[in-house]
Amino acid sequence: MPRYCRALVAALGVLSLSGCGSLNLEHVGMGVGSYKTTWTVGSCHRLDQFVETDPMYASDTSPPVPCGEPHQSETYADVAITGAVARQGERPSPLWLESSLRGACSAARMADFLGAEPPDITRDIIVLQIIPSVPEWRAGVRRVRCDALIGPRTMETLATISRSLRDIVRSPAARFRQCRLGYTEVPCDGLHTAELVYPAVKFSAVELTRDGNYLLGKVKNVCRQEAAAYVGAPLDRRPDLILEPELPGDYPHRDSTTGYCWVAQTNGRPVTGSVRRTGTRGAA
Amino acid sequence: MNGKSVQIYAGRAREFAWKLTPRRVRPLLRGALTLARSEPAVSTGVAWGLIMLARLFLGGAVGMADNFDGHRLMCQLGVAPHPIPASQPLWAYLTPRYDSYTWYGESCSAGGSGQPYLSTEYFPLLLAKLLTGFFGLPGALDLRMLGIIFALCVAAAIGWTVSELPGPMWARVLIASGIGLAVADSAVAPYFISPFSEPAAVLGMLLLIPALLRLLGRERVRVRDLVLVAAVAAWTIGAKTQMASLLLVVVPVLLLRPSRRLIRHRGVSRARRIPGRIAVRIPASPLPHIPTLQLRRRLRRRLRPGLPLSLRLWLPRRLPGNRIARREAERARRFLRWAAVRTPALVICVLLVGGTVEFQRHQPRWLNEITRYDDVFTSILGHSPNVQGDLRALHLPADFAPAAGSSIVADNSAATLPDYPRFVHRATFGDILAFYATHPLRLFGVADRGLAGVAATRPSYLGNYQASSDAAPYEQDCRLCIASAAFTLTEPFRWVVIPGLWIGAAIGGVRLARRRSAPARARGVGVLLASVGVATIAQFWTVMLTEGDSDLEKHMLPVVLGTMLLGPLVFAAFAAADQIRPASAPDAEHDVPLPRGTADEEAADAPADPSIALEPA
Repeated sequence: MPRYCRALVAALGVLSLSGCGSLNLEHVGMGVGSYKTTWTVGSCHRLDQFVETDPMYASDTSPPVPCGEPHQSETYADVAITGAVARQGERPSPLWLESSLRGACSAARMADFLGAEPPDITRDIIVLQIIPSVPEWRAGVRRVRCDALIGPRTMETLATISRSLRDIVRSPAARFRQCRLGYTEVPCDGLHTAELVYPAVKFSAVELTRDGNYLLGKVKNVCRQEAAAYVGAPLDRRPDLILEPELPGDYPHRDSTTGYCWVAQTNGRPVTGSVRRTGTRGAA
Repeated sequence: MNGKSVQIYAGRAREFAWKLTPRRVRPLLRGALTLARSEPAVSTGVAWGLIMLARLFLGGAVGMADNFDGHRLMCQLGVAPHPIPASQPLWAYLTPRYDSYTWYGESCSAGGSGQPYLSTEYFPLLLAKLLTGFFGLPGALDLRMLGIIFALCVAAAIGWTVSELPGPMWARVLIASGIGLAVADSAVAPYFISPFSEPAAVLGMLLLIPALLRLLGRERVRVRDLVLVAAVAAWTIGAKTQMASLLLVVVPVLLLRPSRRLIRHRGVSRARRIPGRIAVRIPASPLPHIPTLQLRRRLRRRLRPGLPLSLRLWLPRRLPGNRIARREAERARRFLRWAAVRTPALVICVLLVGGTVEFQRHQPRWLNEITRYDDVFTSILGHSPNVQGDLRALHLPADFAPAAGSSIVADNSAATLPDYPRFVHRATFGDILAFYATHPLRLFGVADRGLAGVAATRPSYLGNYQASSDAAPYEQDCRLCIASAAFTLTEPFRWVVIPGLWIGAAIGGVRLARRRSAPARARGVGVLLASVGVATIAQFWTVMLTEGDSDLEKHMLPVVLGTMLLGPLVFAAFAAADQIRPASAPDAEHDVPLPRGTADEEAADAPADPSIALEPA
């Protein structure tokens, strides 16, 4: 075979290998696994890296883990994708999807799953929306997996849990409750001097123009009932606890137009743990 | 100062240094100098390898902190960053250690797009991972191993450059050392210990210099040199999508000179010098071996020499009588001849362009969307005096106006608006180019921001030191910041100095390349200088018109390096021009000066006297 023929054959070989021969490079340079999402409600997922919960990395095809093992998220719902975005043949970009699917996974539904009731407020549990992988989207899957993702979660650190999140707020679960040490908000499993009780006290624009005594009176009235429901006993019967109302504009929330109910330690000493449903326990 | 006086001064300096050297050290130094003299390319390469290693590691490793861009490459190697203390800002320090981690599905993809991020940088990273295990370092991958790999690669590139440069050895060593100095600068070297794709592009740019010098060192290029240049270009383009602009110079350079014959004729054994300074290879017969003597003679009469057999058969036997038709036929014949003597280069160019197109086609749509977003909302609308007018010119809805100047992940991003799908579907790079075509004055603003980015030389938000060092958060390395300082000084005059360098180098290179009296190697230096100048300009505009203002200093690295390389290459051009002597005897192997007034390829391809060519030697 003449040299130039050999060169031509080699060139054609390189051409076909270089991708012009419709070589499938779809999953080259990507993660391992089946690219199939686990849609089961109650399944737990290990997302050890910050990027895995970044809104841009919106699919999760990692295999589920038993909820008794360390994990970061748990599926609480599975909802259908509808509307214009669902008609796209190719999966739209993460931001477009995020914008279109905003609110698809309701926080109220997550609160139900967590067992939260009206006086409860949770911290460090957020909604994470998981969308189908590209192959699943092409195959016609149009669902969103709604996960409850625990925190605190920063670029440098992340939290894990080794139990199911279902009804976790019905238990003391101090790490998911909002407390403060001085003016710094912290989870209640750490040292704190006050614990937050929900819901917040709303004020109209007209009310906000009135004097401080009015604002204080309204917050106190609402908070007294809420705090009693939260603690499981009127605060009169808990001399160790005292109501600490936060008025709109109080430090550190200068721009706030809402009042908050804090239940503080009467002696001002820092404690750990939650006072939720403690009743008259701990009363002097 | 001419070459002779430089040699005199160098000799005096050598004598003075020798007197200062302790007697015990002299034998050792003499041995080293003997080695350096006998193998200057190797010794220069080794010296620069040691300088690079010292520059990267002495006093603690310096590199680049990861701004999350590294994830898309590092995840392909099954590693994740080693956890850092909660109090440590993520981008403040270099974190070279990576631990094993299993990434599932699209958690390892370009920005979560579900499509891979492909870069040739993967291969050095893979090697670094293997070496990390081999040397038993903690973690699955230590980026410091990558620094060692690139230091060795830089050493090889510099050594190779010394061996390919024309001119006296001292000048070759000096020029290659200038290139080494540019790479060792603080604007470039820290990238060698980083999880980014830039180091592969830098290495490709360095290797292209000797590869092009090798290719252009001959009047008739060799196929293996063409393949070598194409391979290095493919590596460089494969490092980062923005490097595709390299094709603008690589393809013309590959097609610049004719190739050596692919068909070896029977009886061809040696080059014969023809009187009149024309050296041609005289074949025994221009035809391949044909068994029947009669048929062979007939073909010989019919076909014109100088073309491959396949093309000769397509040529008309006689030119048409009509003058215009004859001229067109002659033009076609010239083109065919031009193409015929460049068949290997053409095939390689088709492969290179096809591969680049395919590579670009496999880039994630999501990254493409981000790039278009930055172009429209950051670069155009963010600096617009009339946002509504610009939106109309871009055929975009007016309700995008509040998103002017935003990034795609900002709170006021257009991605949060209901009309966003219209942007995704409608705004193309063609629209953006059309916008600039109809608003050319806006390009001055784009250029100004780009030149400011070049003058800044490197991103200030990424720290260069490890957290274990005494360095402050986000501290920038300045072990060798000559170029960085020079760029900073030129910042107020950026409109004159930086484009002046590019354009001046391109013009100077073209002038040297067009000097017919110069040997091929000298003209090759001119082509290289012009190519680097043009490639740097092309790269600058590619970055500005695709990536826009986003992470500008980081994306401008090839432009900064290209500009820095112009210094030693201009010196190389002067050294090459100094070699030109009107009556110099041509080198039979490398330099075959061509007769004036004829196209290179035709003169070089066709023998001086066809009768000689048709007869056996």
